[in-house]
Amino acid sequence: MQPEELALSPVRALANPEWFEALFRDHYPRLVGLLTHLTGDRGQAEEIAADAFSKLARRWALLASREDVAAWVYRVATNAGLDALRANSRRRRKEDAAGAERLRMHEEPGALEEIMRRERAVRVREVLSTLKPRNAQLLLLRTGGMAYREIARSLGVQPSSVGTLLARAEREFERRYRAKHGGEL
Amino acid sequence: MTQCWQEGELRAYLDGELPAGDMQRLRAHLPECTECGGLYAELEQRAEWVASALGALPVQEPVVPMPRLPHRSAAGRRWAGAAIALAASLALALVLLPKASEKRVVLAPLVQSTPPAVPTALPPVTVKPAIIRRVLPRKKAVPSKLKPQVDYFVALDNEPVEAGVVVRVALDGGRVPADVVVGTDGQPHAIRLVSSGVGER
Repeated sequence: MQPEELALSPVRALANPEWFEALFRDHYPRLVGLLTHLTGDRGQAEEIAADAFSKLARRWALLASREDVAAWVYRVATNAGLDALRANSRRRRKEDAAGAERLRMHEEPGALEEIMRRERAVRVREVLSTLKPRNAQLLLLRTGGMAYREIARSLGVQPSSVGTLLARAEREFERRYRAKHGGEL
Repeated sequence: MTQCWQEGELRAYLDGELPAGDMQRLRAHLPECTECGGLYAELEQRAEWVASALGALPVQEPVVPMPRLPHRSAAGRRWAGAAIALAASLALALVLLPKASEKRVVLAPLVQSTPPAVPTALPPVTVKPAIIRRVLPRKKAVPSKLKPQVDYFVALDNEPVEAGVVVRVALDGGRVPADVVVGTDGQPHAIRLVSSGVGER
């Protein structure tokens, strides 16, 4: 059974105890990658991803009537990641500032580029946290190199609509970023 | 002129995500349509800008799915908790047991160097009432010669002493030490006997 078939057929999976494990193995790495991008914290990303699957495990009987369970997991995990991002924003800004100060003090090779990258990452996360969760998911999944078919499966949409959704998400991200931080990256 | 394309299709074309036939038709359409060409250029520029912005986020490391599966039953979770508690107890025991074993090694029975004497005949058993006496702690022995212990000077005259030196002398044939205050006039003005502890203070 292919992972996409498993992800799209929870009813069939009720009779197949290996369905959940296959779903987990197929989507957990991508989900952790997405959340790491979003939060910048690998440990927190793993925690959020595991928690999303745990919620699914408790509700899978309810989800049996739904069309796409993977989309549900992605949505729950991304929402939790965005919540964590908003909650951590103040602490993360302090940590990034402290890291930048350490780099300035030690004057390591490439320190200036690293400082600029960290500051840009803070701005990008701030803007991502203000987007609709699905738009943030789209941008992060596409940045992670996921194909349209996989993105569609993860978001529970048709593959033919991914281009339209992606164009809208990019336009919204750029508009919000420029409004808050100007055009310079 | 061929048909125009939607924004979503242009965006998918940018990523090479259209079906092969659509890719060819759109490629042929773009040079001849300024509207689609302009929209495509705008989408391309924005996509590059967004990718550059998101490129600031940390690079994703490969993630290995955890072997732990979240579809445990409630009973399984309880057993997992018990297993964790047992593991913690074993870890604590591993920390503590080596110390206990060391004590056992230290308290191992000693090897006797000489065999115990074997009595040839048992003496008659007689029972005597035990007399219990209270043992008082011994007082510290104080040399009788130094009593009373004097640690102050006794004036030898009525003249006040403004300046002088203290000279250690030996009285009574050298057996009794004493300190004498000698004034600037060279005359003794005060004296004190020195016990064993006075001179050392």
